[in-house]
Amino acid sequence: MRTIDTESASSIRERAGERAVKLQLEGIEKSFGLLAAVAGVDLDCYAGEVHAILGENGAGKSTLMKIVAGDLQPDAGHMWLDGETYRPASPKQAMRRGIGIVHQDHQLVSRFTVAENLFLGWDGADRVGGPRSLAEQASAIVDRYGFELDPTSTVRDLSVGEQQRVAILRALVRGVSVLILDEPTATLTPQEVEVLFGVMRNLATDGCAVLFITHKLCEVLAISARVTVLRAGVRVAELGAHECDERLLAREMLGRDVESPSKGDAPPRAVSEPILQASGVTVRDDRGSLAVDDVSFEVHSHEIVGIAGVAGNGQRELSEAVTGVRRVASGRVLVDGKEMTGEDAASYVRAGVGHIPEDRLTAGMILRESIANNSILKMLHVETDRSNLTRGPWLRRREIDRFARQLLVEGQVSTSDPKVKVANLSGGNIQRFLVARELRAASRLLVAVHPTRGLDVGAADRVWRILLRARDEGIAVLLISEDLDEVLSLSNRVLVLSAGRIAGELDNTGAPPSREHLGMLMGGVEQEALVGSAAALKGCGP
Amino acid sequence: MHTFELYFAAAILAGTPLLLAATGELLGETVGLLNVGIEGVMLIGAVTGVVVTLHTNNAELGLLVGALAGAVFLLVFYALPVVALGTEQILPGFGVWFVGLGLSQLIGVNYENTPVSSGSTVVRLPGIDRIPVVKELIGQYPWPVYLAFVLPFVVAWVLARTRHGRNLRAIGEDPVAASAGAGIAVRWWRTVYVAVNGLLGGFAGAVLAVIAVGEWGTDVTAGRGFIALAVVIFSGWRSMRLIVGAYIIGALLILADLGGALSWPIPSEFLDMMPYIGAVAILTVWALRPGRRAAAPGSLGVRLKYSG
Ligand SMILES: Nc1ncnc2c1ncn2[C@@H]1O[C@H](COP(=O)(O)OP(=O)(O)OP(=O)(O)O)[C@@H](O)[C@H]1O
Ligand SMILES: [Mg+2]
Repeated sequence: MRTIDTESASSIRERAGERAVKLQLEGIEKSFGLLAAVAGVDLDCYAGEVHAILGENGAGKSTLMKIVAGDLQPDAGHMWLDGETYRPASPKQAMRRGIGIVHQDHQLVSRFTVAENLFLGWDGADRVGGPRSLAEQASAIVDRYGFELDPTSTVRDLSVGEQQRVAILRALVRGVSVLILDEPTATLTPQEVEVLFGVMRNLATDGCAVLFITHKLCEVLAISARVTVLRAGVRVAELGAHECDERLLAREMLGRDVESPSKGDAPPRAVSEPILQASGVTVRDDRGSLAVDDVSFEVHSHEIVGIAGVAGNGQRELSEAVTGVRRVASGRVLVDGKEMTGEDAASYVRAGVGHIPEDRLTAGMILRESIANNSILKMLHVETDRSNLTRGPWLRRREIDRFARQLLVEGQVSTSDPKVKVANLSGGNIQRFLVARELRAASRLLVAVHPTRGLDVGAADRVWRILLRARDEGIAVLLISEDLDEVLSLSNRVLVLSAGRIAGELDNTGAPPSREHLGMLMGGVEQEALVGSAAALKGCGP
Repeated sequence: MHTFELYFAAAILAGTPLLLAATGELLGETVGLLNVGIEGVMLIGAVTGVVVTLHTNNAELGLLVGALAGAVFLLVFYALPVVALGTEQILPGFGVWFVGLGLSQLIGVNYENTPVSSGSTVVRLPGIDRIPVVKELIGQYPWPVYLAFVLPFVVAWVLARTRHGRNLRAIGEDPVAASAGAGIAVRWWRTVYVAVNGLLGGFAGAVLAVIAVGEWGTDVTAGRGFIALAVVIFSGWRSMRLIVGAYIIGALLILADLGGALSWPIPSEFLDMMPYIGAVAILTVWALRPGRRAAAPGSLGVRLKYSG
């Protein structure tokens, strides 16, 4: 567990006591159709305070924040900013009043460069300026905050974590007095989280109010002065962070306790057979440089193989290569002993490979389509499923709806209506639905990239149990995650990926491997990276 | 004057309304709004331009009012449904065409085939107007011709290198991110650029009727609004390429006149078809060109529900 930075948290708390209320909400309500997403929430946020907002997936956190940011209009309630009535009719008006928001889904223009996105829509940007001067100013800002980003790259080509950094920087550039961060840490590396926390503390010191949403309870305790807990659109508790621990927070949030699942022992190797065999796999990234370099490994049935490593060391490209999304430059991929090198993603689906992609919004779902249509995206490639869901060229709507409803139940998604558009689900509920669908698709192999990203502690716990159950049923699982706790608590074997190569393989069946050793492997031999991975080792699982 | 110089000048003049209308449409499409009814806007601009010119004997005023009429017309019949009410874009576009066609005939019924007497001011480019041949080619046109030629350069510069242009492109790429993420007033700018599109479309129609043709006649535009739409696609949404497309088609548009003057042994009906065949050919070649991705704005033609 991360050690809590009590000193700065308490000093922020003290200052908050003296400061005035910055932002005040009273009786905020917002419904979508019959669903009351926010049902009468009060909230006081003080200048100089980091205020955490906690709640299950679908509790209404993002909806509430969008109301503050002028993106949604409340059905009822009042808001005050600096003691004056505050009622933004648009995001523009909210930003004019000094509200900055980092949306859960980033809201970047994907075909624009990082630099263009940073300055987009900001009145303080130069009126005239070509790409070069824009990039220069952007790199000055990137350097100032110590994030790693190339201002000239196109946002579409960035990893989700990099996109997150762009969204955060964009809010910071504008000089905010209230900063809303909607799950910013879900996609950041632990080192970047440290950087972000530093930034948040500085903002608070300067009198800014920070609203911070996260599902990682240790982060709540580490950075915030107070915590508001939402459940089903209602505020159920407002706590001082000093009077809390993780257990208490989880109980307030879910109304029950959660225990971490135990990994148990994998069946002996003798009964297992190799499902995924990768030999000498080399993959290039979008920019054409070598991302995965001559990697060989096997994943057997009845086992979970974890891939650990600092983000950006080839995890994404590797996962795409063994699911047919990305071509391998050289090497071979076999599934169930069948040659799959060069096959497309549909063939992998037919071979029984499920894939929880890193970016659920662009690679996993068609947001504008209904849950029903998204539920069958893959199944139509699988002969047995297709015969159920179609008749000749026709789709059998009733069967599809029934199938989608099953997935919604299996994933414990907040809605049971297959006609709902995926875009209207909360971020965590999209992930729940995605996991349920991919588990269905994975009859032989499941490639899970950050499977619990954006899930609340209860849901994350459930996904872990599901993965373990899948393993016990004989499915091979390749788990790629930056969360060391997650990797170590689930995997039978851990491969460490560093600079596109496998830096080491560790047995995780008995006593867990030493974290120092892991850190050495993750950092390769570079001293600097070693320091970074030391921070990563602190870990922060729910 | 030689035939070639005459032909060249006529082609430029014929291409000018196309260029103006296409520039307006390109701006509209840059913010994500596809208006297939440019033809209707041009007709409204043409008829008001001619009527005002006939009444005031002032072509400049006619052009101005024609342009304004186009803007108002497009605001009412396109911005109102699409931007204010959030409908899809194609049907309102066709509505603009139909209503423009009908309304212009209604307004122009008493003015048909009445020649406009006073022409628009011809600008003589200083210096150039003394060089022979060159003078005839580029030295002396009515001012809208020069305006039409310069505008795409200005648009290219604004879109590529200014804060405002960047915001406009963002609106067309991803209006939700532009609004919620970047705080751009999407609705406002979409409305403004519908008006700009209408302004240029109306102006294009007025230039066509008042200057190039010199009178109002039913359906004087003869499909030029649709050709302008094709020119925008051909340009790959890069405004400077509009110039090439518009003048090529301008040259094809007057082929029939040229054929008549030189008594070519080709039926004039066939020559009249050339601009349309040319537009289709250009688009086909463009669509088949290898390895280039179209740069259409990401949200072009996409229906948007405005939240606030
Ligand atoms: N535009 C919309 N239309 C219909 N329903 C919506 C819309 N936006 C959100 N909802 C619903 O409102 C509820 C609250 O959603 P919200 O995004 O605020 O949850 P959240 O607390 O942010 O959850 P998460 O932790 O998963 O991000 C969810 O049930 C969601 O499905
Ligand atoms: Mg959310």
